[in-house]
Amino acid sequence: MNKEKQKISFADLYSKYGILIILLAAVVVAAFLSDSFLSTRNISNIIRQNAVVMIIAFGSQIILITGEVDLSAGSVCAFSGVISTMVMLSTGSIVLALTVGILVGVIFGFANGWVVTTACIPSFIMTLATQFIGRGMILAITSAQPIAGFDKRFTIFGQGMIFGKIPVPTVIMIVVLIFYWVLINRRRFGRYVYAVGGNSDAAKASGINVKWVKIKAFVFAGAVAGLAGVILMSRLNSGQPNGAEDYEFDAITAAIIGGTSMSGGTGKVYGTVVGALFVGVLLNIMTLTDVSAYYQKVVKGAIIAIAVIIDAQVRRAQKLS
Amino acid sequence: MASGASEYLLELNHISKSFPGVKALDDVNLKLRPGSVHALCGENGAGKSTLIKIINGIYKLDEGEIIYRGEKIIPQSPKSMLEMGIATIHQELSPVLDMTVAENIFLGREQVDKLGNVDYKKMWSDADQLLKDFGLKYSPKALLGGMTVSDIALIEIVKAISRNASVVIMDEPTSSITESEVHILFENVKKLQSKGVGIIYISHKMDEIFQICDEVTILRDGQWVHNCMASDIDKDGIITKMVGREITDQFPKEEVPMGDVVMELKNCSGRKFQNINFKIRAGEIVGFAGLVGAGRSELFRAVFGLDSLREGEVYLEGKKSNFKNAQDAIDAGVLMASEDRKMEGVVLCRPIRENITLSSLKKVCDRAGFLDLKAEKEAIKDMIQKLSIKLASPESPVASLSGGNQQKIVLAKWLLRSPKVLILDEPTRGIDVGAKYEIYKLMCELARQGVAIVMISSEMPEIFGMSDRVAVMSQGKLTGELTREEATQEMVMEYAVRGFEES
Repeated sequence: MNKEKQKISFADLYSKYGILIILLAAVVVAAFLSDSFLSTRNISNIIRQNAVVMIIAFGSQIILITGEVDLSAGSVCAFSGVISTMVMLSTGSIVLALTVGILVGVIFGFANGWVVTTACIPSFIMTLATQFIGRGMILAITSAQPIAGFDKRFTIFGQGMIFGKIPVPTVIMIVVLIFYWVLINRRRFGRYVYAVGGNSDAAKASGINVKWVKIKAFVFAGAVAGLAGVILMSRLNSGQPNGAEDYEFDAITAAIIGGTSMSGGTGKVYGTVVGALFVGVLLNIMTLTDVSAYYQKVVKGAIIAIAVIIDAQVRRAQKLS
Repeated sequence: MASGASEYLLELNHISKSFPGVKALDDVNLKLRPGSVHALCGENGAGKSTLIKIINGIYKLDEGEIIYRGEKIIPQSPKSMLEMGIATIHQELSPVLDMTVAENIFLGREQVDKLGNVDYKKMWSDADQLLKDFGLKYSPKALLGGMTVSDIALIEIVKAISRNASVVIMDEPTSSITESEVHILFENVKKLQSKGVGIIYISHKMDEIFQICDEVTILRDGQWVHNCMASDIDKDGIITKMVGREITDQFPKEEVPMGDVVMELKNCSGRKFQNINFKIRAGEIVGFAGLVGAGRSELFRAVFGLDSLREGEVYLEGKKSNFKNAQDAIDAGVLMASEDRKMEGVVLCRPIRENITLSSLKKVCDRAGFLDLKAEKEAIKDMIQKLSIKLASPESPVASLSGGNQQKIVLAKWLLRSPKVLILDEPTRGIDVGAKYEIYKLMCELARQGVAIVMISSEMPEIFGMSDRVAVMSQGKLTGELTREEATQEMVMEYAVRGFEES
């Protein structure tokens, strides 16, 4: 019985700090594998490169908490980012470019949410459809050619520095993080998101407008994907219609590794932050040690499987207690 | 030894089982004779389900032995037990709704022809025979999805019995079937009995126990308390042994002065109910009786805005209030605790705190709309005390609570909204005697404060014990209303079947 008790507390410990411990372990291992890993330049690289996926991951997480899933984030990111560069090219206004980028994301998010809730279809299918539609449309509009030649001022979102030291994408990521954390933890909407994902029938019977909560969550996910698209294209200094491929999976991986349940109702913001950092560190160390991009994919896939298996085990252990 | 043991079909000797932190079973004994119906009684959490799960091989026992037909066995899995001849009808049904009646009955042991394909003709004729033997008139080719819960429950029972088992365990088999079907079930139980089958019968309904059981075993808090022939004990005796104390007053009903009419339904019709006219006053508790499927839940779900009201009007304090959704109803002060609290009452994976304040977050927000966690803590502390909810921490998930405490969470959620009309659908289903009593007391207190309470219940004693007025529905119609003084079991039953005569 004593033995069982210890096992349970391991499960509790894991569900609270597991991902943080794994991240620290990964950092230690990475530091041993490569001398350049802990250099200031590399670390700031990880954080900056990570900003795009992390921002998308907040959207992916909120959708997962409502019990849905968003597979369109990568396409929406590319679509919004490229449109944003086109606006930049034609108007020369960075404010307008940014605004339109986010708005395009919002429109996609609303469309996803509205169709999923009104037609009562699985979000898995609907967002898979949007993924194809978004990618296809932006490839068609650009004839698969990158958009280039716009004013250099646009690069501020992806390459700019504040006080010459702090990367702008990191600052944007932190602002979105704070906004998202407050939304989830200090607003009514956050509670509704958890309740809808945990038990939508009970949420409905408690007077919550389930449909609108889901639509709003999709709108948020679309908006952050759009914003991430602007940052990405700004960093690449061109509108790449093939960009952000598979980013939705990186984002979902980050959320799930961070303890967000695929079945809805649970997940902490901090988990996603740590989860995204973990994915970032892992990809970084593989690049530093010359692991081929193909094998990096294999490792990413394996990690998703392992994270979900551990999650299921922990859940079972907690249920038995 | 083998000849001496053959007096019993199944013997459970000194069974103990621990889970981390709790001793679920402690030295429990049960001996089942062939051809007898053995009642297993106890409050929720007394260990009945754990015992069944041990017999089924879902849990492994820590101590003790199981002897079946004179041989010691170690149950491995429900499937292997079924093959040995021990079948269980679980309280929670597991039908495959997209399959036909016959396919469900033969699920997992489909008959095949020489080529290994499913032999549907044989399956249909076999299923037809089984259903006829049982006394049911379903087509083996009908889809289960289109049937009522009651039909499905009966088919599950047929399925379990058709295994030719020598021990059948029935866990609250009558909880979702109608009165007339209970009759069919009992006849079949007698049939099994005459074939020498031993039956372990779990039920909270005392009348049933005395109607069909020969022997009674009572558990309390995981311990074996009592065993005797059913003829040697009475209802109060069983209850006293189950609770471990005398319950003198099961229903703490108080007379309170009634106020004005709070809610009025005029000619309300919808799915499963027609032309309902009904009034309820402040401080009044109206019990809604009727058979399963009479349309009681459907009526009030429509009033609460969860289902649609096709015709008619709802007046709240004289104002027309046909609620379009639950949100409008809640804002107006009409609240409903649904019969299935796991499905519609609580969010199991979320903390107790969040569940209690889920419908009144506006109250714990500051002007800018940010949650005031301090105010929230205060609010729930109050509720937890008032309802004496037993919990480890308000941060633990609702799933960690017992059924009774989960129901209290639902009530706490509504009490924070200061209700005008409170609709309770089967408020004490699956809850143990102690928690029931607390819920009744709470209902009385709310009535005293002027809340109008509608209590839909299938438990007659509760209807008579708590109601100021009893309304009876049958086949979607309100067939009778009786005052507390007039109401008798016979009259309620008569009204409850009236809908069948008229149609």
